[in-house]
Amino acid sequence: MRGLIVAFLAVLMLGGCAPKPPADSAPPAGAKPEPAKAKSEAPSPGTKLRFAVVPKQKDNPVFAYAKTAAERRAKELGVDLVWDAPNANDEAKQAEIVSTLADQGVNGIALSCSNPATLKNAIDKAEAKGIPVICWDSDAPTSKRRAFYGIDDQATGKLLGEEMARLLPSGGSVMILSGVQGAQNLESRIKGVNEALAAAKGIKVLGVQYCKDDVTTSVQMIGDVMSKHPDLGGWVMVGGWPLFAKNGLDAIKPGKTKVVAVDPLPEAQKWLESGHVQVCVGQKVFGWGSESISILNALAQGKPVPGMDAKGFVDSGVDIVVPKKEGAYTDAKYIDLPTYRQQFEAAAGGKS
Amino acid sequence: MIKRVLALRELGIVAVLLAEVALFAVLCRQPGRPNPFLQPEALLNVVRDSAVLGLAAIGTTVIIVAGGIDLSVGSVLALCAVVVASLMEAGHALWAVPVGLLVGIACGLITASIINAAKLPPFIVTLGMMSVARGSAFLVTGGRTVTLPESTFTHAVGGNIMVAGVLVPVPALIWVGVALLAAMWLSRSRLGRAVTALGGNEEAARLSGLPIARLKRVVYGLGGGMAAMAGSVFVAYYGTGQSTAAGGWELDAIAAAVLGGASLNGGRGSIIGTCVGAVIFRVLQRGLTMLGASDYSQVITGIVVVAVVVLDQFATRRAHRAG
Repeated sequence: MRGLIVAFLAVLMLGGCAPKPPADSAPPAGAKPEPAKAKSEAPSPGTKLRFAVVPKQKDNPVFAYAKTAAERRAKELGVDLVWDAPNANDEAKQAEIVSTLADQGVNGIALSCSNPATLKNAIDKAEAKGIPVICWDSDAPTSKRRAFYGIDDQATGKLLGEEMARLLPSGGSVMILSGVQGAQNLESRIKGVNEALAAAKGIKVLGVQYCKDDVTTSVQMIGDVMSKHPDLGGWVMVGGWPLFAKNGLDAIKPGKTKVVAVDPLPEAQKWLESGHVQVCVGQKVFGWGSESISILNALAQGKPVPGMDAKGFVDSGVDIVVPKKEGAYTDAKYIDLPTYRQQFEAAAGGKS
Repeated sequence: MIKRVLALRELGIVAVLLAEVALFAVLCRQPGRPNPFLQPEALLNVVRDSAVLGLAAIGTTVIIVAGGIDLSVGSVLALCAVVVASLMEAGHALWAVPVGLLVGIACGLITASIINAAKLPPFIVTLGMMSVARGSAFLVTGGRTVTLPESTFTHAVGGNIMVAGVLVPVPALIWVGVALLAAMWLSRSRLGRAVTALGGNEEAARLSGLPIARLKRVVYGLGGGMAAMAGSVFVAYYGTGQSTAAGGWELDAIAAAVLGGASLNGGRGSIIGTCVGAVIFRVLQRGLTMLGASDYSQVITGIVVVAVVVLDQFATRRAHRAG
């Protein structure tokens, strides 16, 4: 009996390691190629549409908000929602999922693209089958995707840089914190930050620290940099990694070293309250889910997509969150933390 | 006492650490400012930052000494961390850490049972456990980051206490205490010596009557328990539990053990050496970050591990020829 249990556990564990055939693998010898089907271009009347939303990974908390909003919008529109993604960020697995969904004949796919080059083939094949594919959060501009809902990363980076320049009117040194080196959206934001800070007087960018999307590493890096540069003027964080840790910005003296960051999610809002973060730029995390479903619904029914330009870009806009609307932050483009929090909680709870 | 604990090889690794600190202190010095590498607070922070990995690496060292290998340590750490954080969040503060420890030990015992029963290489079984534990961590949280508010637990285990007028990080104290106990257990207890004998030559250990299967359950159970303890300290210090935590730490833990004198052939290893090895890698990361070259740390870690293993193989062959 004991041996049986152990053997079962061994099979269970090894099963997780067994290689899976790639979704895009060639059919077996002799098999007839499946003809491309235009399943989604003209759904038959009365058929309930089924849309798939594929984030980069399931284990990133920001995508949980997108899922909530997608489920709500799907219910409102009377369509079915399939939510699937790799557990951890894995571009090959994401490509497999997109291919599988296309084979299943969903009526549209919306994905946050892990890597444009890796996903291009899967996106183009889905489009060849007549399934509309759109991107959100992270684009695949070289693919045949129909639309992209999100932010212009370079423009957002420029916004972050301009806010930092405003916080350092007498100049100073600035460090940039990023995630994985080479990630297209982050590199575009860094480019925008550098562009804005190069135009500001007396600001010197010391460099970019890449934390590999790891919260622990980001906290340690901040501590290390602050030890070396105790008089650092500011941090521009193109992602919100350290804001999720209890002690994420403990090495920074509030007010002395300014911080402009991204993603004022509930877990990160305490840093705005404590004065460690002066400006936090929020992406439309709920819109990633709800607007993606709306865009797919419009495309599946052959209707125009509101706000879409010739390149398929639908600007989601951003929220520029500050602790209080006072001093230099009275302009309408800023939103104070209590108001933002109220709106966020309402969206998360389905009240709006 | 200190002489007994610190063998010649360990003194050598301490010398490497001191040389590394001196090198970075020179490279990172700034005229007119205190050296960021030589401030007592900075040095304590290095030890604190090494504590979580260091705790996990203690278990890895014992497994390596016993002739095994554990590729699941980072995943088991993450699983235990999310279990502890989720239970804390649900208001079961009293049960959180004990349940987390039980989960870690259970992972180790399952691994050992499969190795014993199916006669599979530890490499394969722990690779499977790596996948199972990481996937289970995801299932526990559903991909959500569990963020804990300040509590007695986060203050007591993740905070600082005053020791002789110096503010000392509690994670560092826990790590040093556990390391000293583990070092004495491995080198001086009957069970510890049996573990070393098992790694030195399993067949000889079997013929001499040592309970091989039970010893393997002890070392892998201990490895899981240490990963769980590291996970609990992680939750207390960072205030979060995330299924993606400690990704790739299996290599870091093995690297610390190997650099600290553990032989991948088994039969040799030092807990104190591993702890110094963990600090060496943290100092390397810190130094490279300060120099704006943090991207090289992974490459250097890999090169150091391969170089140390190659040197160890040479030394072992030479010793065999001489003996």
